[in-house]
Amino acid sequence: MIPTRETFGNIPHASVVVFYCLTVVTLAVFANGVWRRFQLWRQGAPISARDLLAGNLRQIWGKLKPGLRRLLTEVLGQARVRGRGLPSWAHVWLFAGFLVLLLGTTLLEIDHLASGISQTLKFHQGTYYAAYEFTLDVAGLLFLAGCLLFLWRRTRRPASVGHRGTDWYVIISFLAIGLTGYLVEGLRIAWQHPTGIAAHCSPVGLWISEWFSAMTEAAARSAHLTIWWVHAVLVFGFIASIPYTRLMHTIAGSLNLFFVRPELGRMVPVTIEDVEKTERIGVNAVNHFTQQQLLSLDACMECGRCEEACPAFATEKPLSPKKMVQDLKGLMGLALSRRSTRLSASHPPASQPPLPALHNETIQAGTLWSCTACSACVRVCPVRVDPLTLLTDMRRNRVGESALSGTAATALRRMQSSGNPWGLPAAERANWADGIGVPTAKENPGFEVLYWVGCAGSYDRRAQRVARAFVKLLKHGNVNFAILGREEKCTGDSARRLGDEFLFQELAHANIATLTRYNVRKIVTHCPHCLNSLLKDYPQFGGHYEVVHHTQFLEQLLADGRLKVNGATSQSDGMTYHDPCYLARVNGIHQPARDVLRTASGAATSPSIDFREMPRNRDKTFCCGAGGGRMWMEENPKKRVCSVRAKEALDTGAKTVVVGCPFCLTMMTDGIAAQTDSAQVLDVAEILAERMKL
Amino acid sequence: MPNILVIAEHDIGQLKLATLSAVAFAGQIVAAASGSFDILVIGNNVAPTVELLRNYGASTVLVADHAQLEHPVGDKYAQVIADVATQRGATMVVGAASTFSKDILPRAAALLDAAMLSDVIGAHLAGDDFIFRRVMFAGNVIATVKLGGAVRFLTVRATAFAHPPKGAESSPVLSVAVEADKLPAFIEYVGRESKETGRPDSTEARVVVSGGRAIKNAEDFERLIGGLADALGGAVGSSRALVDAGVTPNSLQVGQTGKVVAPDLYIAVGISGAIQHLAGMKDTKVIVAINKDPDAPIFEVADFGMVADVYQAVPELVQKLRNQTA
Amino acid sequence: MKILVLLKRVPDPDTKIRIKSDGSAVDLDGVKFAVNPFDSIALEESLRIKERLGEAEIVVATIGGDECVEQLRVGLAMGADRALLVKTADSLDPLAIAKVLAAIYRREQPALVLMGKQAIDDDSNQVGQMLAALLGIGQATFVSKLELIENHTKARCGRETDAGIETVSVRLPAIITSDLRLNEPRYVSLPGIIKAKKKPLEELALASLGLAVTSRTQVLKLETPAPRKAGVRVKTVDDLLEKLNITIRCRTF
Repeated sequence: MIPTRETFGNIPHASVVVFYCLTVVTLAVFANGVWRRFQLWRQGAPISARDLLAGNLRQIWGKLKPGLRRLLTEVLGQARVRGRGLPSWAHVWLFAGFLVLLLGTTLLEIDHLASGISQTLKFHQGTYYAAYEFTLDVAGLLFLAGCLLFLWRRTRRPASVGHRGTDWYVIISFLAIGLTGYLVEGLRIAWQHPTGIAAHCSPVGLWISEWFSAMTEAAARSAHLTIWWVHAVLVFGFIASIPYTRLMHTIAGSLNLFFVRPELGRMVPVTIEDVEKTERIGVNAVNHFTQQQLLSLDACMECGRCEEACPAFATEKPLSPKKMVQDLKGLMGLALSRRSTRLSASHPPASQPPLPALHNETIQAGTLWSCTACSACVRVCPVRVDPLTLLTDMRRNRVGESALSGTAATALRRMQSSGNPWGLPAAERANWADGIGVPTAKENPGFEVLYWVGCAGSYDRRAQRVARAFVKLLKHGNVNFAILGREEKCTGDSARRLGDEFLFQELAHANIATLTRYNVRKIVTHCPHCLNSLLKDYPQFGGHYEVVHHTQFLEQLLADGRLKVNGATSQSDGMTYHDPCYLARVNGIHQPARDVLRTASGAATSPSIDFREMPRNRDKTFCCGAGGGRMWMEENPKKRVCSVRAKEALDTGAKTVVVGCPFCLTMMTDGIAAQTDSAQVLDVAEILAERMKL
Repeated sequence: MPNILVIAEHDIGQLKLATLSAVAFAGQIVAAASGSFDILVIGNNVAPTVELLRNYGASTVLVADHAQLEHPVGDKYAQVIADVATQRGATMVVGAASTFSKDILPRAAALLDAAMLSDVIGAHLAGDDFIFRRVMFAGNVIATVKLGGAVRFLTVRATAFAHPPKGAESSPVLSVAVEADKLPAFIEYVGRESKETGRPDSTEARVVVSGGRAIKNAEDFERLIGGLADALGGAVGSSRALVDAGVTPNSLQVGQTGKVVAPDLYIAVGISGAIQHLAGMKDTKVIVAINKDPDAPIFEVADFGMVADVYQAVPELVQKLRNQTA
Repeated sequence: MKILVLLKRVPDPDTKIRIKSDGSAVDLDGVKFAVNPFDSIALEESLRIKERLGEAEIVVATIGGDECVEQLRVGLAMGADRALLVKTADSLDPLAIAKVLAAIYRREQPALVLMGKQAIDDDSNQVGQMLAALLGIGQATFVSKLELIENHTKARCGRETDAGIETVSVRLPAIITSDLRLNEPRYVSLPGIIKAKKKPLEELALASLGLAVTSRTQVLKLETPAPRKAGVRVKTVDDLLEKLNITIRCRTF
């Protein structure tokens, strides 16, 4: 017998008709649900999706390629789902199993329609059939395994995962679909009695059919029909419920992964004309977000990874990226129930109570100002929701509406008046370099690389030591460098992340004019925030530079032999390196510092460096707490972000904590000093300079 | 020839010594250009204060004593001063630069269409008139100015004029009639909340003593930092580290996320001098640091620094200060 | 309720003040200007009163040249409803300023006037008190706590004095000058200033007020005090005590 089975075998014709009718109804309910969500996303600021299809084929392909690649690797390949242990496995199995089953059902239907046209087109037989049935049986097991793992996990109620009533419906109906699928198969085999390959190609079904071996054929057929209907109804229910449950993430998530512009550390500029036209800056109603941002709200399925990664949440501040996204999603959805065509809170429908306001009613001020802009939430989200940009868009509005006061506002005011956040005289910016022979760009116009010192290196006495150590290394390596000196102003990174876009632009324009005047091409800086701003923010205003971190620069000097470390040192104290967020996570740079430290310890000649990694290292690094303007804000003394990270560093047993950022230097010094006297915090440059006895 | 009216300040019967600086100023003017000065004491039952002011060379000590003048409310006092100045033909009205004088004297000046200079630190005769030096821009600029008009008002900085010695001669006392029903009644004195510890607030004090990580607990803070502050009549402050450790309340924190202070003297005890702290006291006139770490950044900004264990140095300093004033 | 808030354009508080080499004036080259911080505090207080009352008209006013429009815009951006500039190129001393402000007051007839206790450039701390005298109304100076009472006919004020916080109750209309601890003003950025361009800003020539005001104060020379000497390390407590005594006794000024 050629292995095959009759599609809709044992299903009476009337049932098949009803089945197809229900399919149509289900798809209509599904489509309507998705359409309604789509209408909500459309309320947002347009993202010119049509531009993607503009131009010639090559151009279109170039524009579509990144999104398509992400669909391949991140949806099909589940690349971003990994990394969380058990739930990652559960999702991969469930997803893979489901996809195969879905594909299988589709192929089955195609065969059914084809063979209806002509029996010669039937392909669902023979070797294909055997392979098909076997694959689907395995896929079903994978699917069930995933479901069971998820069900088990849900009963443990992990803290960061969202819990809603509909979740139980989803997971239990998935299980039921999987189980009834096998039951149907088993019952089919029970009445069909296939033999040979036709039987063994469905091993699970075959095994299940033995439970029904005692049944008469009539009974088996009857049971088969019943369970088939149960299975069908469950599947219809599942499909129809997608837009109304967490399952919407399958569609919204995939769409978001396609449309998102995923560069960490990047912010979208605003022009004065925009502000004059709209009379606002940033977001103060949910329809001010872009369509892609609103879409991303539906992509979130409360997995909680962002919350677990968030340093503000870890220190009990009123910020959970997950909750913020869900609150915004709720506000967006309120428009649905109001049947209003405009979501703007300033134009409520006349006969209905106004929508809750975005600021202070939906999202609290404390939530917005707790964020350190570390981008951990953005890195970790499997569907690429970007809570950080949602938040900074809202911050921009608060600052524009004069809703920011206090010490952070004072820092902004000082940045504007003095070009540094401490309000110290601009004329004294180069005083740190007095007497150590540091040429300014004016004095040495033929420099090859500009050393961007930054505000901390210029004014903070502790950070000045790092600058001086780096200068010693530069001079020892005969590097032809210069600094801007008094002409350097704050890059404006804190201002931009706090939400004062125009203060940032003012500083950026001034700095770009100076950099242009001196024909700067290459910049080295020891501050990752300056690095990120110069590299990612400044091109938006015409400033294009090659920017490297001082650890990269030093690594190159060592590799080139321009700096040499002699001999080995038995570095017995234990050393750990705290990756700066803006270097390791936002810009993907983490190896050079490690290489420099290794070389500095003479590990090339004798591997005696006692280097320990913190659990959260490289792009998974945990913030020191200073970013996003939080350096200038108060924290609950008992719950400081730097204390959490300091503890993590000290738990490695290291006695030297190495940093690569002046913010981290300040915060880690504070955090460590509060916990112990016997550990020290040093910058990579200081360690190398000391090792070379400079 | 100048005819100066010095406005005395007292508080619940206690003479404010700053008054003597104003008297000293008047004495300097009179010594340079001849003329004379009177002292005016306003209040209720002020006889004891009047007595204290009789030996400083005033030609008369004037007394405006009335129940309605119990509290220094600006409208009443300004009216009395304006009336007395007119009666006495004063060409100059002077007070020490205190909140008392600053509240009242400008009002009195305007009542007489007189211009005024605040925070005068010196005067000298140039030709037939005086030229004054005064402080501007939070003490960062000294201006040399001339002031015109038939009547001139001035407040003088107490620290610029040393108290004159008591003389042998006793000035006569003259009572000034107070027409109570003609006094304005816009302002009503309600009460005063005296500072419990007697310490000023760090944002307003001339001297601030601040403690850092070297201080181990709240008792030590009160003993060392509080003790030194009291010995100098100053306020207390703390770095972030002590607030984090629960040793001091957040209200004492000086720094970029705490209070910003600009005293004449800031003594940093056991404070390392990280920029977050410096941002809160960078406009101090004189910074003194005591820290056992010779490399602490605070020494780079301090005018005077001592490398020492604060638990040794501060008690000794407090003791010696107390011995001094005793 | 109409509240008149008076503000002054001053060099930014963080500016390091330099004097021209001939001592004639402050070197304003490259200096940024701001609303006098005490005046910002006064304006912030008026905005909070407005928020509490639900309704009030806040008018900000200043005296000076065209450049002062910048500071009035900041005031409007913070939330004031209307702005008024009395234009003059003359340099006026506190009594003259008070006379001009009295004319503004008579024109506006506010229920309350709020202003900073002093400007951080001149540091005179006179204008508010003089203005009150010229108008024959009450005053409350160095206020760090303000409450309208008795159906907004009086203001109960906590005043920062050398001896502590003194509470007075002053009949309105009155002049109230603000001290540092009254509140923390909101931060204004460019979008707020752009929006504020729509609010009315009126300019009046000083001459049109029909006043004859002249300054009786004449600045002859400006100088900066001796620069800070390099830090000195002392070895003993006695040395430290000696230095402290010298510092306290003859403080620079």
